[in-house]
Amino acid sequence: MRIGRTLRWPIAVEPRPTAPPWLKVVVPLASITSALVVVAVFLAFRSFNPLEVYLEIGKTAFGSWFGFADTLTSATPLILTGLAVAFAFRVRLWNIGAEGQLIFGAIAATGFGVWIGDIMAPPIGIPMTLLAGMFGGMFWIALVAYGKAKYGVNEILTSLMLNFVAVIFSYYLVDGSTSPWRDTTLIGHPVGREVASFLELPRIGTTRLHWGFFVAVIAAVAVYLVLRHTRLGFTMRVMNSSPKAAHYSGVSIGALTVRVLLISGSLAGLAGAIELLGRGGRFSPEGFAAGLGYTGIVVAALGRLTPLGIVVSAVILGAVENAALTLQSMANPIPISVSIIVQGTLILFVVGGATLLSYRWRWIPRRAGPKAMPREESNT
Amino acid sequence: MNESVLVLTLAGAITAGTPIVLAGLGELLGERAGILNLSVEGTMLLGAIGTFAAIQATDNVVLGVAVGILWGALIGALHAVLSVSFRANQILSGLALFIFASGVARFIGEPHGFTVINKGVTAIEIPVLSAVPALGPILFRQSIFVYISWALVALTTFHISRTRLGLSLRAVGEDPSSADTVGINVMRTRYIYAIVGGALAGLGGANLITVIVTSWNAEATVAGLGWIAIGLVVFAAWRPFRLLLGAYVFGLAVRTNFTLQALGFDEIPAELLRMMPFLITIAALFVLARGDLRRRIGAPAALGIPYAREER
Repeated sequence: MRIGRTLRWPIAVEPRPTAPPWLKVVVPLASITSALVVVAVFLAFRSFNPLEVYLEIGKTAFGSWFGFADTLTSATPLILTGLAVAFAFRVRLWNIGAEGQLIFGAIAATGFGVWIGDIMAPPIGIPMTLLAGMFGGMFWIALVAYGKAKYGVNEILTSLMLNFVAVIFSYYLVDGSTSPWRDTTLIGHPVGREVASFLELPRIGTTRLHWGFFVAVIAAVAVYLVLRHTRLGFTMRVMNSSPKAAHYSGVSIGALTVRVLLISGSLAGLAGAIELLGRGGRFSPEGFAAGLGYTGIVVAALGRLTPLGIVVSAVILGAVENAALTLQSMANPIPISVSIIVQGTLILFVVGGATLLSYRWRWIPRRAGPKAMPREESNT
Repeated sequence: MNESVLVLTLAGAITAGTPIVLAGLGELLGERAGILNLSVEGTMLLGAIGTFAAIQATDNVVLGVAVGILWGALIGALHAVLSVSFRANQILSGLALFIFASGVARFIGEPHGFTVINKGVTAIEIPVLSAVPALGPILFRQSIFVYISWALVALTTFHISRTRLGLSLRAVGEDPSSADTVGINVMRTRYIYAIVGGALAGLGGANLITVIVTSWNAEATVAGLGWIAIGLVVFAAWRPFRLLLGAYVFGLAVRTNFTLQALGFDEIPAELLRMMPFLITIAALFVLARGDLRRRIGAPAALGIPYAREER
């Protein structure tokens, strides 16, 4: 393509080993601000007043104890799916299948809760049901892990395809068959069977917030401890900075891949079990996961893959998600999809902003650069 | 199975496979330049609703399709800015754009929920050829998108393997620093193919909404086709013609669903048939990843790696 050199990129991008500390604070804040500005444009297009909308989101999410409790309730699964994505990404594995693992966590928890949980006392029954959820998530990522470890099958595509399979399978269980997951005592639109009510997670006061939130926070602490203070965490750091060094020091990369992905899947499965036991104990395929797995990617990126950052960003996105539900039912309803736009814009700016941290951008004055040589036209 | 059912199924397979061909070609071109774009699913959704909204507003199908293509090109351009200029991780950038594009599509589509399109695209019967028994109805009574996709497959095959520009494209995807040394503008090449790739995904979305789905439903309009297109590019070993064949196999998997129901095979759960395209993709990825097959087909060597002149 010989159009000639009409444009010269006047900016030099140079890698830098460490970013100045002030930039680490400024970049995320600037990312969030820019995202708010872009979303404001979208809102203005549909003739909403962006400032009013943002104020309303703030009021709904943080303005009252009940609102705040709802925010934390929405944040609960996001903490776990965020951890699931981040844990795998610590060794550059992409688990895009948190959505499907979450669904299988809920399916496994329902199965366990309906059959075996009934005969157990709640102090044992609840943890066991949550554990069943974790195994459900592990089960659903097992094929992905096996394929990646054994044959190097692209885990992005396999984990993602399995999301669709999981959603369709959950419809089969409840709508398409008379499986034990379907509540056959009710006539009308098929619904899932309810686990025994004593298995449901206790709530805090009269709010909707349940103990699942604390389970999620404990999981975040556990992930932190694993990453910082265990042999596995150390191996993961070595693997991340140099796969070759890890290989030569005798780390079995395949085994590590499997372990990391199984843990990742179990976190997403736990999210499914908690969503089930924290929100009424009935599994229904319609919108059960509703993008929680994909939002986990945003949470992980926004939280810069650290457990603390993930908890904070899950609360932020939980606030938006929760407020979007309220805004949708106002007199002048705002489309619920605004929460996905917020997520999408936010992650775009976070991804772009990350470059500012790892590269220095320098403006090159035009005259200082070497003058472009006149190019000979090729004869072809 | 009587012949008319067979003919209808095969014709339907081609119709259903064509959006995958279009979006897959875009992805293929981008990947040949070293750009992995995971936003296809979202881009198709945005292309679909862009087309839909424009047709509802103006009743002009050509304008609508153009709007869909433009939306796709916009997402492709954003991906280029992030992954080429900003050197962001391409996987993350693609996923970010997938979420962003789906959000924008849903936002635009909110007032159009479950409404049917005012004007769709109907099949064009090619004179003489469409009268050929069996082959005629299968191949030559299709929408314009099918014919466009054939032209594009031929064109890209020729472009990639027989032209100077195609050689530059391959060089940029395989070994950008060598390409740079011989005077190929790596950044510009990657920008161009990322934008073209996005535009083709937008065209795929436009095809879906005007021919196949014809009503707006954020969940069901694209429903995984974009991801399947990405998987198919791997399956097709980055070759356009194989992509075409692969997409038709998937179209067949989708259509068999309807055919089996029409023939009264009720005992096969509909859900199992709906899972088939995804299960087949997974199986294909497993088969391809095994052993020497992978070495023989070879992905573009610089796929997913940002190019930085000073780091070579």
